[in-house]
Amino acid sequence: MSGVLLELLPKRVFTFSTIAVGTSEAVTVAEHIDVSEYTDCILGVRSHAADFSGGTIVVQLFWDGATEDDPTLTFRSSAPPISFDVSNSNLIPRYRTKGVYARGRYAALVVMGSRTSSNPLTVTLSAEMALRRPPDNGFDVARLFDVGA
Amino acid sequence: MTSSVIPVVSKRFLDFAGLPIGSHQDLILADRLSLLHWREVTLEVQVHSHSLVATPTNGITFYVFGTSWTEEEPGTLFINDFTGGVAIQPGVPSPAYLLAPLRTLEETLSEGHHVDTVRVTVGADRLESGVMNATVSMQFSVKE
Repeated sequence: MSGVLLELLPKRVFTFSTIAVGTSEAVTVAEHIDVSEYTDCILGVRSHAADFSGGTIVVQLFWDGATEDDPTLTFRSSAPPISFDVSNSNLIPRYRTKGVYARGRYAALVVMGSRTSSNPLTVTLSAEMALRRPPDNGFDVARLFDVGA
Repeated sequence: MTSSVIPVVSKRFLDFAGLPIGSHQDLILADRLSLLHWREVTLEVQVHSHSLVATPTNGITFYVFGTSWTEEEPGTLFINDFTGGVAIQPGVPSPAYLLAPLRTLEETLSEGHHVDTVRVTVGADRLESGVMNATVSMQFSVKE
């Protein structure tokens, strides 16, 4: 079987009600998620409860370029291959999923809140990720091209 | 194993005779079917017979939704908007073979890809009077 299910984020409350109006704050909830052995990456985000009256909240998956050469620096893809604006609907509970081809070795999950008014801005989220890869059929490329392996 | 078949519904008669005109009804046919290990999934629907040839404005549609549960809130069902589906529409012959592929990664602008479990439902919309039924069987064709 080629699939695994990771629980990335247990049920957690994110409160952005204390950030200044007109500003944003990003919270990295998981990083260095090892996707190196997989080709398919499908993210599922559950919204348990929310108050979006104070702004917007997005959940984003970035490719993570962490390297042992400089472990203190954060290397992230410039654009998230998956981005959910969980605040674009007041329908709660809510479940959103999206799949992309896994690029690179690692991924990182970020929750970002942007406050546009003095009203509260909170959300209760949890997240999971399915990783899949094609089956290993023991295909021997060397035998195919008779390179004497 | 690179491919398999996951049974969803054995041959079953679905009858919406009591559905009032102008209304909609959903029935859950199967729930918590795990598709975690499969990269390519297609819902196969064998329509053994249906009555919609005579009442073409009525509709019977089969949907697949991605679902999720968490032990932290076991009483709450999380269900996504849409993962796949197919309808018995005007022009669909009786019998018929319908296919509903679930979202693939090539659909880069779409959401609704399956994570693990799914729910299969049938929705009926009645716009005119008359007989409204279908005999179907369903299964998932799955491939790694």
